[in-house]
Amino acid sequence: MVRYKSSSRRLFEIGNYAVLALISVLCFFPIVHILAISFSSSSAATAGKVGLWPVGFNMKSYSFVISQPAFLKSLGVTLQRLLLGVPINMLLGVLAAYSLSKETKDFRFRTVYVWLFVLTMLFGGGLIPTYMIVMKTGLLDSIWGLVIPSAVNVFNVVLILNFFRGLPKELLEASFMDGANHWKTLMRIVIPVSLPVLATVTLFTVVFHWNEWFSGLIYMNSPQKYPLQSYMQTVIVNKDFTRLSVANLTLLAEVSDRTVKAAQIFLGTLPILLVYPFIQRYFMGGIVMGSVKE
Amino acid sequence: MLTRTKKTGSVLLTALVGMMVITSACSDNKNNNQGNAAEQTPAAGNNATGTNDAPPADPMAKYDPPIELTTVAFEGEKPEYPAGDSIDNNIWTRAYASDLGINVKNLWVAANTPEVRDQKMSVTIASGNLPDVMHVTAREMQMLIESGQVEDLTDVYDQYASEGVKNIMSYNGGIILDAASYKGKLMALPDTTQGGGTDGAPMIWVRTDWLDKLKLSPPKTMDDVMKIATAFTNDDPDGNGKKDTFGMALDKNIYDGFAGVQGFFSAYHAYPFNVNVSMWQKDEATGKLAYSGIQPQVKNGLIALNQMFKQGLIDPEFPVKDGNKVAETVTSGKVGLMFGQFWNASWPLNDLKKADNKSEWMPYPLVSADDQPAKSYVETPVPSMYYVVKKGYDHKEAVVKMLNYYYDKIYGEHAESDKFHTVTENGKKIQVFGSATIQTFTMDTNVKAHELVTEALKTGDTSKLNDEFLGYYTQMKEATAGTNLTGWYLNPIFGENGAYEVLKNYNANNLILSNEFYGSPTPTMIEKGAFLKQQEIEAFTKIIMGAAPADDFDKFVENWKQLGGDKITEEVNEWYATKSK
Repeated sequence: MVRYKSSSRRLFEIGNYAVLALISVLCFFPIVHILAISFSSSSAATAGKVGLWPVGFNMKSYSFVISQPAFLKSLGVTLQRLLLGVPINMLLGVLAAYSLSKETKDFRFRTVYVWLFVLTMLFGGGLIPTYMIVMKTGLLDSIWGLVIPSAVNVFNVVLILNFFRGLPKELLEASFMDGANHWKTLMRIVIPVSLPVLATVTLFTVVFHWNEWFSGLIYMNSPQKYPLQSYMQTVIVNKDFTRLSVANLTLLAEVSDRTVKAAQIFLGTLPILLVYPFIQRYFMGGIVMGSVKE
Repeated sequence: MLTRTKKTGSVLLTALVGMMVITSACSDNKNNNQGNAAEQTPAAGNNATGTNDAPPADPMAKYDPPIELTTVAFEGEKPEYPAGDSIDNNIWTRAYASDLGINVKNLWVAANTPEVRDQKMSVTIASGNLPDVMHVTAREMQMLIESGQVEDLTDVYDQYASEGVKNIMSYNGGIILDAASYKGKLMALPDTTQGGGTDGAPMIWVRTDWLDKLKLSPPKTMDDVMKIATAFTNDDPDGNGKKDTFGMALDKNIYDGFAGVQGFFSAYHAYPFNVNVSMWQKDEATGKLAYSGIQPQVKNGLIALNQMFKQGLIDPEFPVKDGNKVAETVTSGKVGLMFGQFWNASWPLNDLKKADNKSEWMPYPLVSADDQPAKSYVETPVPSMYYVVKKGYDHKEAVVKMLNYYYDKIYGEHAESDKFHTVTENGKKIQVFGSATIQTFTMDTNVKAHELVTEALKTGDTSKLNDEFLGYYTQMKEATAGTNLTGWYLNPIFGENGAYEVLKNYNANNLILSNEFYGSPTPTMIEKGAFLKQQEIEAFTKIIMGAAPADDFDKFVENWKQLGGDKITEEVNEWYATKSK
């Protein structure tokens, strides 16, 4: 009986792992395909002959991409954006979450404020009003235009907030008893015990700033100031065939650089892929712990 | 909404104007005494004199003191400039300043991809932060005109435009200027580099090395096309012993994009085309415009396509393949016949040539299924882009001067195309004409290129060729000799019996049918267009694949009319009534 049960259990596990492995392989395929194209010869790539293994192996597209100043420049912009954006997001997020995590008796209009925050999650201003605000506040064409409009992410605030509310009340009470004020409590007690959620939110923020491309295109006034993903968007987009004139002829004849595009996609994804494994162990814990309220 | 944003935008605008004054005051005055052109205050040039018998304004008069002209610019994926130049400082900006006294300034520069362009323009227009001169789409032009944000250019065009420019604009019965007009007033300058000719007329591209191999002759009738397609499918043209080739390329959009087969329908005197309920023809019986996609002749074309599909001449996966995907089957040497346009040689056929040296393609005129000649049709007989001047800009004639200037430097008698069109630096050719703020294109340039280059290739006498044509000539010779294949595509385009020979004959024999509707999309088109297009492509795909009987076409037409088509037809005819009077 026990034997039978365990063998069915084993069967289930094998099946389960097989399905999960299949799904992960499916997710992995596109990346491998892109990688294979980036190492293939240009003619094999345009003829669609490349599957999961490079055809006509060469590194030309990589040396070309590395020699492109535009690519490196946009990478620089993205790094700058990360260095400015992530600390700002974290600072504002933690401060907002701390105050909103207080009980109503400590912070009378807490619920109202929480709703005000949540409201911005539900309703956005739309493209043009948002653009107008960015324009009027003088953020156009500056790195701050990429940082300030997304400085507070309410979703992250809610995550942190729930985590804070889950902390043992005794901990905070003890802190106040010993004469610490809010600042000291936050810095010395709350933040050190909240590392899991903070790591998670940091990861979210890093990924957000890395991947976000639209504001770069809209707010920047010259392609030199595009962050990496905005630059990628302009490179990878497909041609519009409906209207072509002779002026485009020469351009068109030189356009078959799918291998270069693939190399750029891969190089653009690589750094963020490398970040994941390091933060992942906090990642799971962070979400789960933050989501359960007392 | 728009007026409000305009008002709030004016604060910033004032600041901007202030900035301009400062920059123009600082700008280079050294060149002022170089031009001896008659000096005139720009305002006096047009409105102030007011009378028509005033001496024609000097179309090239230099501004003194120089004026400032703001605009916005888009830069390609891999912009190339001669050393030291940039989009803000190049041969054109310097020439505008020194010869015309116009200091061009880019308020912003963005990447030139369709999505980016449209988004960036729409926020710019909505925010009211308009530059003096803008390069806009037909739809944006319409919007700006209707909200009264652009200047009327009728007078300045009449007074300043040079002979050459007027010549270009009067092409095809003045249809181009018509498209830039609103209530009889010229509100924009058409950008003839962006379509507007008949160059886009479809033709048949056939892989001639396969023809030779299978001992077939080029198509003259629709039966020939069928015969060739059948042979290309069944007789193993690539000689690999496998039946892995298809007779004819077809993409999921059926007509537009790469491997669209609008030329196929021409054989049946049907002219369907649908980017946004776009192709309209005149109904001879009523004298009104009718949508081409619902004409009974379309059904015959669909029946023929269905037969080809049944015989396996078309890739059965076509409904999921877009132009780029179909191009892959062409560059991998799986297809030998397609309906397309002149530029197909440069992409994707040039890629195939690079991969397979033996492959050869040639374009042929469209063929007919009966004794009536087939007519090629052009969906966009007018340019897709226009130049507009912001309302209230003091020097609106400057755009016409810049247009004249471009014409002079590129096409004029004293053209300096080695300086203004393509510059050679360290043996590398760099195209610089794209930096010009205002550009134009003479519709007969390419036919002329074809004639002169073909002649020169025969005689070896290159004295008549300008630098641009000489470039074609050299590349074509190298490609024929096999020493350098990068310019192979120029042969089937400009060479003997090339695409421009085909186009020339179309025009000479009156075999081109222009879309009769070239206004901006009507309200119902905007609302229902995408939906109707989806319905149409779905219905036609089903008929081609045999999933629905051909008679379903009649059902589609009924549905089309009820689901907004009738309303669109009404709107289109309202537009037509205002145009034809």
